[in-house]
Amino acid sequence: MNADRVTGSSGLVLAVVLYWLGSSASNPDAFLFPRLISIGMGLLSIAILVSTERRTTGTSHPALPSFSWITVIPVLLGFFAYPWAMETMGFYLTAFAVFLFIVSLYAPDPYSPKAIAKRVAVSAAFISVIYAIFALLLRVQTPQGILI
Amino acid sequence: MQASSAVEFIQYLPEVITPWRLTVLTFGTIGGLLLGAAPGISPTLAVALLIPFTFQMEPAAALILLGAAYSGTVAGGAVSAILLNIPGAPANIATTLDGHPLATRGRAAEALHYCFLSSFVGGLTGVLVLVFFTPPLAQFALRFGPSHLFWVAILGVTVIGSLGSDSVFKGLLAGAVGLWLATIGYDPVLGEERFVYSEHLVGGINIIAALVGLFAIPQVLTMLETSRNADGLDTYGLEPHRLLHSVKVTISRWRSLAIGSVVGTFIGLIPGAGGQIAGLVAYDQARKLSHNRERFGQGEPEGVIAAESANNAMVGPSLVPLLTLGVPGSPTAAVLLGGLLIHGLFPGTALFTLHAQVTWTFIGSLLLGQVLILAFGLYVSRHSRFVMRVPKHYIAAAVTVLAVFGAYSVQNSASDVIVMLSLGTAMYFAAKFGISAAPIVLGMILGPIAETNYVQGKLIAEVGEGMTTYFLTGPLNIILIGLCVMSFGYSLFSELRGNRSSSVAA
Repeated sequence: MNADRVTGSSGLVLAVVLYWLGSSASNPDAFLFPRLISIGMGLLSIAILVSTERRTTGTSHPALPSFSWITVIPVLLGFFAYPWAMETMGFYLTAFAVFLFIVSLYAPDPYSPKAIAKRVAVSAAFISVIYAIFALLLRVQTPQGILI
Repeated sequence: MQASSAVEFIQYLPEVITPWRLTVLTFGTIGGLLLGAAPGISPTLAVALLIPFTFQMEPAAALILLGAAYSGTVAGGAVSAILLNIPGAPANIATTLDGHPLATRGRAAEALHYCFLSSFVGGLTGVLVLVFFTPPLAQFALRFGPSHLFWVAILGVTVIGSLGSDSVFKGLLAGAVGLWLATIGYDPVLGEERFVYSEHLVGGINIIAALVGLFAIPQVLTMLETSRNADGLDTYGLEPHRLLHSVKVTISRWRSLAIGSVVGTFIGLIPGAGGQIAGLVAYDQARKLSHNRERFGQGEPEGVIAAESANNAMVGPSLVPLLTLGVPGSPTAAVLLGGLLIHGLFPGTALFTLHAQVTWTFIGSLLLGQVLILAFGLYVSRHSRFVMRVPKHYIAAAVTVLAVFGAYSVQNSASDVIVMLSLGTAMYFAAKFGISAAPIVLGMILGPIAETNYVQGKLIAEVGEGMTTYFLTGPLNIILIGLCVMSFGYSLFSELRGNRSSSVAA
């Protein structure tokens, strides 16, 4: 299995599912355009699969990509807590927490009181600037939550 | 008509050069550049945010502020496109393709020079077109009916294949995914819900939220993947670059400059097409006609020049249908229309007769604004090294906060934030398989244009000349279909030639 085969196969599955959803809808007329798109998507997926197979043996196939799950998972969890937290805690407080979380977790230098103080100060300064521009100057509405 | 336009333009130009109006113009330009450089703050959003500030202003100053913000954000969007690989606005998508590779080679200042010099030429061309050719071009724009706009959208689809992805088929597949994403929500004609399997998708996917998610989030995750390596600083080298050399290079790439300016001007005139298409179409055409086409996508200055001259050339002409017909040429022009109406200015001939002073002062400010954008833009270029020296984890944290803010503030909706983060995460994984974000976003932009005009054209054709005659005949249809065939054929030919070369090499 190489990357192109995964791409082509995934595209084909998506195309079939979309066509099926469009055809089985209560009002198929509303799904005419999506069905046309799914047909195009299916043909392109087949083209990817065929061109992958037709490549001469010996030509390097793109290998399956590797993912740094341990690095990515904490920030993904942070991402999906963000919308919930901003409505509960308030937009700017959540922004401060997320900023501090990212700069602390992904910093290359080791933890030390000085490093922690620097990260807190930079996070507070960044969010203060954002608050001054968007909340005070431009008066953009954001979720209030329990704080700001 | 053109001569009288020029006379009126020159007559009212001194009206811009009053201390108050110059202050407003400078504030609008700098503010626009800064807002444009922030990922997620699109020109449309920036102009919308500034409208409340104009309530107490006299109409001319109000329009100067909004016009300067419009031009400034389009130009400023290139800063984050080049330095961070995150387009500040949809119009800057094409700029990432060669601008960021230049930055990663330590040529960020040089890329920004090309960007602002070509923005200046494109912007100047666009404003001069606005001044001299408003009446005839308004007539030309009127000729575009649903069938023509449908073919314009299809032309955009054919361009998709060659944008960033490592194969034409993958690019087109990504574009098709974008077209499908655009159908989520309500059907534009029957009002039927489509693919709404979550409450967050009821209103469809907002294009700004999608743009921010698809570009910013994968970039954040990629930066964090490597942030703990070495000293955490970005590994880009930082070579100083002489402005004079950049000027010479920009002038020597006159062909890309001309393609960008002409394509941007014409696409700006077409109501609804918008700058996002202008940059991409100009980039694609510049590459096809370039002697260095194999270097496009790897940091070719011509790519930056074509894209930036096009999206800035679009600004002036996008105001032509707005000022003459009340039909906005871009989403930002639509917001600007709101600014006009708030001040009691209604588009049409009255704007150039009853309110000639306000209108021509506004147009004059757009011209002076181009000079200010060039000056401030080049100043920003000198200090790009500060952005490049910021550790990756700080940039990632800042981009995350700005991305959430950008997505939320479009409609004050947490659903947009959830959609943005979901699309961005999916894009991070898709990018590992050679799928690029640019075709998906372009598909999302073109989808509604293609579908709406196809349905409208179908309704017109059914009561008149029939589908075949309506969509496939007429000089404009034939020219656009010819361009579609040529664009797709060339992409396919390039793909097959590339495959053959790699087979021979193996």
